[in-house]
Amino acid sequence: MKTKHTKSDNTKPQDMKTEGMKTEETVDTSAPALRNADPQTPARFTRPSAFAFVVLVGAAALLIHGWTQGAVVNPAELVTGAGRLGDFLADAFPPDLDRVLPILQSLLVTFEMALLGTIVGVILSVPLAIAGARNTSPHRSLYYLSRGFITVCRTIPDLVWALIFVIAVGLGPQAGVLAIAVDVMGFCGRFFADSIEEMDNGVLEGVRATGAPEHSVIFGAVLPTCMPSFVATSMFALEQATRSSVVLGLVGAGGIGVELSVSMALLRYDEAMTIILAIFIVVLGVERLSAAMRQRILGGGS
Amino acid sequence: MSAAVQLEDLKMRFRNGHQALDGVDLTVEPGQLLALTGSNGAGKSTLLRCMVRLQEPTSGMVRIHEAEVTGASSRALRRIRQDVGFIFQNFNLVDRVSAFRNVTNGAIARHGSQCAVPALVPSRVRREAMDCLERVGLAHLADRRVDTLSGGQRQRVAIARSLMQRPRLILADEPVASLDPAAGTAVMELLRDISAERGITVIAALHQVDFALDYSERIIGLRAGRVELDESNDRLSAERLHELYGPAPLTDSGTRGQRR
Ligand SMILES: Nc1ncnc2c1ncn2[C@@H]1O[C@H](COP(=O)(O)OP(=O)(O)O)[C@@H](O)[C@H]1O
Ligand SMILES: [Mg+2]
Repeated sequence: MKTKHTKSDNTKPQDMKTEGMKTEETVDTSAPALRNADPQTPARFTRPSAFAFVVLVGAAALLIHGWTQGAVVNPAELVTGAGRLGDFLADAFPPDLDRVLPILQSLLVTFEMALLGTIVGVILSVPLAIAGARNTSPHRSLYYLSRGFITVCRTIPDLVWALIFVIAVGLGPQAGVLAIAVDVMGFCGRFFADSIEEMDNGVLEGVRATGAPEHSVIFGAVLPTCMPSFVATSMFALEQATRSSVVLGLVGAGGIGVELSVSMALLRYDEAMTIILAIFIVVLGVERLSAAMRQRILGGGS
Repeated sequence: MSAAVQLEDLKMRFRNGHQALDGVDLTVEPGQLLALTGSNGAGKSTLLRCMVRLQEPTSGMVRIHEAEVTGASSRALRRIRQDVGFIFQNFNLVDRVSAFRNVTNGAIARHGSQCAVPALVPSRVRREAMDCLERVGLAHLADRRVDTLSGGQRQRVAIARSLMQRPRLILADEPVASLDPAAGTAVMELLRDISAERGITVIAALHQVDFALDYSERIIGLRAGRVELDESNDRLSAERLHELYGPAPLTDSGTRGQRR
């Protein structure tokens, strides 16, 4: 990078011109040559590489083993399954609106859980990302520590985090908030850090060269530069969190998921349908809101 | 008077083994405007960057205003950098924020980290920032985002940021190489004028011979990491200076210089 910048002085436009001319020439002369002469027509099929072969065989082996374990798509069962799905839908419509108020209430709690979890996660992600970006990390060991932590947050599914936090803080929305916060740290921590690493090093140098200490380089250069991407990433995280907060209730981490699993267990499909529709509307709303905000922020950037 | 910059046997070897600086000795008197010339790859940028350790020299000594830069702790280094403005070819401003905010960034070292956050910048710092923008002729664009400004305007914002440091020395690495001739002239005039009116020492890497002859008092020619020429401007002919770029100006003398 540095070499490129310093060498780009006066010679560059010239270089580019000659290069451009060269490519044009080669295209002009070689195109008819290709059509006339007949070197070797490429083969219709190319032999797969050793790697592709191993991958294919591996996948086949897994599918066969899965078959013996019941991981199949059985056409006959699909037909009967479709029939039962029809029964479910017949029961589900019209949706039962008797308990619509408590349902909306617990949906609200679910969204609040997602919102709080996202906010906590985003706030904690910022220092994590600064430590986990090569160009701003105070020390190499902190870089690895932070990146490792982020990876753990990301690779363990949120449902598993919820189970763990239910043990720690008991049943209820608090466990859900914590699970979402950790999940968001895995997502935002990584993308925040990547966006910091994508910064032009010159911008950092410009502020460092004034004698500013590292933490004010963060406030003076890094945060303002990365803010749009941070906000866009956070909105994505909120969307994801809203979706997953619905499911977290199934393992006892509070919110609408509990209602849904109870209705399902009691075979009250019309009530379940009300819940599903309500979830659909809320998730769609959050998605729209988030898309609009991202549009504003990223669109206004140029 | 004590020297503004003193270099002794400064060497810098890149990790790939390339010797970019091959023993540079140099003393710069305060208040001078010095041009650093030489073809591409001669080591001009490396020399300037090594002076404030944006790049670590391999060996040798750098002293700025009697303070030893090489071997300074990171805290002492920040203290030294506070008095040294650095102007880059690509401006290196924070693009997404206003010109004004970029200028207040120049006050962080002297006035503390609150200057990095717009809401916390003290009023007298804000006034001083407007004065600096006024001095470079951009007070009317204080609120404009830097990425909406022209190259010449950006470079003047960068100069305003360095003025905010109240520098005694300004290092400028190809300050006009990315600018059109008119904007380049304006920037060079600005550098010359602030150097004269505030007694600021300026060391500018310039690969355009004309700019070097027009604006500097002393010219240093680098070739393959060594000082090959060191003359005061009035005793130097353009021919002598052109020689520095090799006898055949159409070939890339930079790469040839490296191989020597
Ligand atoms: N990061 C780097 N790694 C290796 N070599 C470099 C690097 N940066 C610059 N160089 C080499 O060091 C020499 C001096 O470069 P530089 O100081 O940028 O020259 P100038 O500014 O005079 O054009 C050049 O030959 C360049 O190729
Ligand atoms: Mg250079």
